[in-house]
Amino acid sequence: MDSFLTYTVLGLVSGAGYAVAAGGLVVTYATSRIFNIGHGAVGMVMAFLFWELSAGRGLPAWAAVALVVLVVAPLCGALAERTVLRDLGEAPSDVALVVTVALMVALLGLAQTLWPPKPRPVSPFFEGHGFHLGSAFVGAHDLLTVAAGLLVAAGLSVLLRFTRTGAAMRATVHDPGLLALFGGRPAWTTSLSWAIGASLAALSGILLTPVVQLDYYGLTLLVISAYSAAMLGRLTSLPMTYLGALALGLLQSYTVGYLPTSGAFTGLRPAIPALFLFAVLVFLRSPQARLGRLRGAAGVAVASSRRAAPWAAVFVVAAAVAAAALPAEQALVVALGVVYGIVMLSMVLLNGYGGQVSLAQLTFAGVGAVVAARWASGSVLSLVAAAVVAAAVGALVALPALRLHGLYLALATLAFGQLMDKVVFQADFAFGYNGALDVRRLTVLGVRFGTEKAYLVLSAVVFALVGAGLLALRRGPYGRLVLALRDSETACATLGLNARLARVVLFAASAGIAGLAGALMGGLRQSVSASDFMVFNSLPLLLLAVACGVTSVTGAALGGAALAWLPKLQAQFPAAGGLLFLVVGVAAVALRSEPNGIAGWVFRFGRETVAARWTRLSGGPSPDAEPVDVGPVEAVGHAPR
Amino acid sequence: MSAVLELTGVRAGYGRIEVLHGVDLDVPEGSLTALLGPNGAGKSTLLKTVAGLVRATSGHVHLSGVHVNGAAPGALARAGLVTVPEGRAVFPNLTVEENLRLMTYGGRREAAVRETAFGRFPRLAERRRSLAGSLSGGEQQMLALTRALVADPVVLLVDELSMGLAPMVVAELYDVLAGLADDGVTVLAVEQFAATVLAVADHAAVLVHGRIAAAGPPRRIGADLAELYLGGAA
Repeated sequence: MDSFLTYTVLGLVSGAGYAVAAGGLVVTYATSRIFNIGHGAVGMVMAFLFWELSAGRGLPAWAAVALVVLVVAPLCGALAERTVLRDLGEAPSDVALVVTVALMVALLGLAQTLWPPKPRPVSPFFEGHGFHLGSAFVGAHDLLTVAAGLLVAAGLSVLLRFTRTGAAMRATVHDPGLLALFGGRPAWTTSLSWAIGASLAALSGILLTPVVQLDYYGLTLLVISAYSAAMLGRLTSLPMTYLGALALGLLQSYTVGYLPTSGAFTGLRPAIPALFLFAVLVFLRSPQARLGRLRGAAGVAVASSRRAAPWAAVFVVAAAVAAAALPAEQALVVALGVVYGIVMLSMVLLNGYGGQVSLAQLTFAGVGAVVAARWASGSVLSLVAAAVVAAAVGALVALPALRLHGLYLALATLAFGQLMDKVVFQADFAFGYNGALDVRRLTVLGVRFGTEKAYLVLSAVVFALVGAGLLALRRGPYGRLVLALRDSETACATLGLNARLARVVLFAASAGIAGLAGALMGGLRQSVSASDFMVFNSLPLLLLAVACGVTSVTGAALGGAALAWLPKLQAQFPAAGGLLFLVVGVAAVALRSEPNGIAGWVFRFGRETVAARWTRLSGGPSPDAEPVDVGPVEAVGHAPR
Repeated sequence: MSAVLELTGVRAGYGRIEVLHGVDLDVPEGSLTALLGPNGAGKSTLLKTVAGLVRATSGHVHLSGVHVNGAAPGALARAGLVTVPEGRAVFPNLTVEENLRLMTYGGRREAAVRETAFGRFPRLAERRRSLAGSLSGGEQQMLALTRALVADPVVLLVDELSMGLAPMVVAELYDVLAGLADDGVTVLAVEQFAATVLAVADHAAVLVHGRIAAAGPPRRIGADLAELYLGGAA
């Protein structure tokens, strides 16, 4: 009974902390239709800033809190809204998602650059003060947190329900132009809501720091709890959000207290927020997709097989030349880039063609790596098995998530990745607790691929095959169905197309490709561990895929190369450190004007040069009248209203 | 009678597509002027240009003698220009009361806004706590027009008031507009449904292919309408 009280207090306190963060999420979503994945990262950076000011610069705690929560955070929130997030609510949901993921990665990079890892002890406010409730000790900090949670929930409710500013905030998401005609200031209103959101993120980060300590990922992931609470309130209801946050806090606290500390449940405890989020997403009816709305996106020309084949051959030959010319350790990096490229091909299918965002693509690669290590290691069968099992897992994720769209689906994959990180990958049948697996290199038809160089050629061949397969798929009926589903699910339904099956197949195929890449990565590195496939590593992957061009095979190749080279660059110039990820984040944000990424620019450049040469040679306009050469199609969804 | 709203040689459009090819239009003070025209003539673009939602590429827009090209829509709204755009100019995700609360940017108190709204349209009082999106089309248009009643506008722009509404409701709403014009408000109403608006209008103008094809008393315009629409004036 005594411990029950203690756990209850603990749960209520962390629940109140989640409630503050979730309130900020709801406010920004209600006013801009952007779900800020980077919300927790904002809180994390602000908590570090608070530490810097109070512990590092000797400012009194109250002054530091006031400065961070009331001045710096709101300014940063408003600035982010003005510079990168404006009008994103109107963009296709995957673009908005990727931009906020970029924000998150950039903030993580920023924090690691400004505050390099070292222990930073944080003590609660008014340490030692408090009172005893039965046998449980309630610290002043705990009281403060609970009070803040209540105040924020009440304050936000009053703001949104009973004030003109609040009404304007909710109105602007529907039609900012109309609000201007009413005499309001929509731009100012949206900035205000982001300022409030950032401020609340900062407050929750600071309040929760004594619970989780100053940790880049711990604080950033705390928002998974905030996400689930906000989802419970369907991103609109503040009271439900508040209750959800408290319930989650209690649930977590009780599991820590009462689940056995050994056996199968060990890994379950840190995964509670993710489980909760997954359950909330799947069991609550997700809001209807906006009907009757076309979401066109500019695609790139799809190369015919006649055009793609020479390029595939060039790619493989180039890989072979590189393998012959480069020393082994360089070949390893290049091969890794090609393998990452294959993972990005899986994103081309899922995101580029299907318009769905997965935040856990590396997790599927991890599944593939485990299978390849555990079963028929060293034979081609292991590759096949890895792809098949990963595809099955992908289908399993897609099944409960079938009812989810865009944002909800992406969050479900995030929760899934988190779950795999904490529970499945740590289990004995996978990598084992903090363990690593040895993977043997392949022998195909008696030819042993025993070196990095051989693996480089092998990966290049696989990349070329998968890429060609994707292009063929894209040109075929299934490709058309996937694209049609992306543009308008309603229209597809009226045509009697089976959206569910198509979606599951899409997810499974994409996961399968990622699994294949995971198996190759295992063989290439010979030893893989769970940390290679952490869900956080999926995020830079997603960003680079989008920045380099997630709609084309070329983009995947570029992205893979970039992802392999970035850590090398980072190792050579440690000062640049997280700054590189900052750059990637900014690039992804900047490239939202060109949905086809760097590859899009390359294609355009290529087209223009070729056209110019034709004009020069033949003295007339280019006779190149191939139908593949249509320029980017104007986005239907962006037409002026 | 002097013109409160004056357009001279206004050209405007979207990106490279020009919709208005030099529009000249005077809207006299305290009048209800009907702007008619076939689909795609540029009527809504003209209203948006006056309201500041679309920027004129050349020409001049004068409001009460003040040059307002490039002014922000919010600034114009606060200066006394009320625009009721096409469709239902209400926020469907807010309740009737919250919509009314947003009408206080003009300076009136919320209680006064409610009094005016509920006095003129008793049906809104019954549904004060309903989401505006759940109101019938006519009720939504009443709510939208309330803004014109409470904002004490100098100029009122109304786009396609009749869209999707029963003729009886349309007639009732146009009576409200005529009443406003009698109180000295200058009203410019874009309409496709010519008969109803011509019955209450003081002036009429016809926009065809981005130019004013004819302007004059409603009766004469009404008689020539078919010919104007079908391109007789071009």
